[in-house]
Amino acid sequence: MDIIEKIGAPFSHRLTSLFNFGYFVSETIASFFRNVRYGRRLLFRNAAFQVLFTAVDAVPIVTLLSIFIFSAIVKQVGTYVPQSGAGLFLGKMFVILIIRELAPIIISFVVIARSGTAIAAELSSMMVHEEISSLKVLGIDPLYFIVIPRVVGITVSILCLSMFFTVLTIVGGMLLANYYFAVPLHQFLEGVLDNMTPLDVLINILKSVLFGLTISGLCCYYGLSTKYSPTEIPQMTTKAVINSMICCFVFSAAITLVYY
Amino acid sequence: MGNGFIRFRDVSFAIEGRTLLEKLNVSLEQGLIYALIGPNGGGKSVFMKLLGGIFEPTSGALEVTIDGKTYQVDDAIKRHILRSGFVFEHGGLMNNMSVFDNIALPLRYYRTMSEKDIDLGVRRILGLLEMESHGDSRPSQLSHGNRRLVNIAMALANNPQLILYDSPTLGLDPGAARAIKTLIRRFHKQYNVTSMIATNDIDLAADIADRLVFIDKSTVLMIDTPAAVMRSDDPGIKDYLKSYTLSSSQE
Repeated sequence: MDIIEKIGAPFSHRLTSLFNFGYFVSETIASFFRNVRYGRRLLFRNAAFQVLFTAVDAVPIVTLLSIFIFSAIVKQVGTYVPQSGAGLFLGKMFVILIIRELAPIIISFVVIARSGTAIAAELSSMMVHEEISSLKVLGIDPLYFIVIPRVVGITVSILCLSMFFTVLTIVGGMLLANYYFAVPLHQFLEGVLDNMTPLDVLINILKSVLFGLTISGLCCYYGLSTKYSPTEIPQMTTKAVINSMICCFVFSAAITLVYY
Repeated sequence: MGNGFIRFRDVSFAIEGRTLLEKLNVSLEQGLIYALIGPNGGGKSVFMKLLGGIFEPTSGALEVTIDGKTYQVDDAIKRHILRSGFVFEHGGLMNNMSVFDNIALPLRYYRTMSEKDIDLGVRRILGLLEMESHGDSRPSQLSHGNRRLVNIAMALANNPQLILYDSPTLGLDPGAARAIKTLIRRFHKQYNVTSMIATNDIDLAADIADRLVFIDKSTVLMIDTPAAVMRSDDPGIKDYLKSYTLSSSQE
């Protein structure tokens, strides 16, 4: 009995967490429809600030990552491909690696590290300092007032950053390939455009939106799960980060397996 | 149980398998000042949080009667029918907003007036509390006493029918405590609200309240005038008052 309990307890705990998260998501959606006529300006302002902190402020780090990645791809791949037709091959590599796979997942990790942690810690702190209770007393639904602007802000930010990263990495790769290996610019571009299908763009967008919803939902959920003391703040933040990363990896792999 | 302003009907509250309040049947009259007293861990905070809508009863219901109509208290009722303010013992203010924005929050959220009127309303409340110069400050920049005043201002801005004070004078110097006591009385009259003060300060409770609510062991043992509670024969109440008198005289 003891062994069964020991094996079963973590499983049951995870199942409960999953159920609670599902309930949190459904309640958040319901809160939107219940409260949609209140505080729209405040919500819009909060979502705009979230985009500013998550997307605009992340442009330097995303630019830096883009430079590292297109440099690595061009140098590593360019060295092993024959000179003739190198542009076409490099273009194809950029479509497969950047548009289909890396752009959404890299941006998600940047957002988890910068904004996911901030959201989880901020909401935990708001729980401990009775800020969420204060909203409830005023009849303001925290799921509507706190969670929805963050979900919208994070999702829009990941989508924008992912597009920015994709374009920057391809353009950067094209210029670097031209500089290092004398690959003609038009040939590289031809390689990208010939291999990029509408499905690739759609999958890039789908992954970005899904990662945005997952990261913001999980970080808000763990933040608002804090109950008693400030010592829970780092614990909840860690859980939010780890679970967000795992979910992004699993969803990314699942989408790739299904569509390609 | 009378037909009061707010009623607890068989209200129980449990968290993580522990029952913190059990089958409460309590009726509160409109326009009175209540003081909630009793030993620590007896259920005062839970009672206040149920009344403020922060917790929801595990079983039973909270009802409010306004203009002859009775409603079960839920989020929609809290928005439209029973507006409340809660003066927290710690926190309760949005730390990422200025004092002005904290007070204006419910007004902006419900958008019942123009931004110009909100500005005037908030400045008037800041003026009442003699805090005009603190409008642009962040809550973390204020003293403990001033943070509590902002909490009161936030409660008043929502034009409440019910104000809940959790240990309003705890940790304040005697002058600040006296000022808070005067403000509670003043706003109670001015805004014609029902006030509930959770406190361990029996002198404050007896001095300010129309009724004392004695709560212990997850249930309300007595609601009556301060004089009647002080004369109570209930052993639990007698012991508590005796220990309070002893500790006060030792201080």
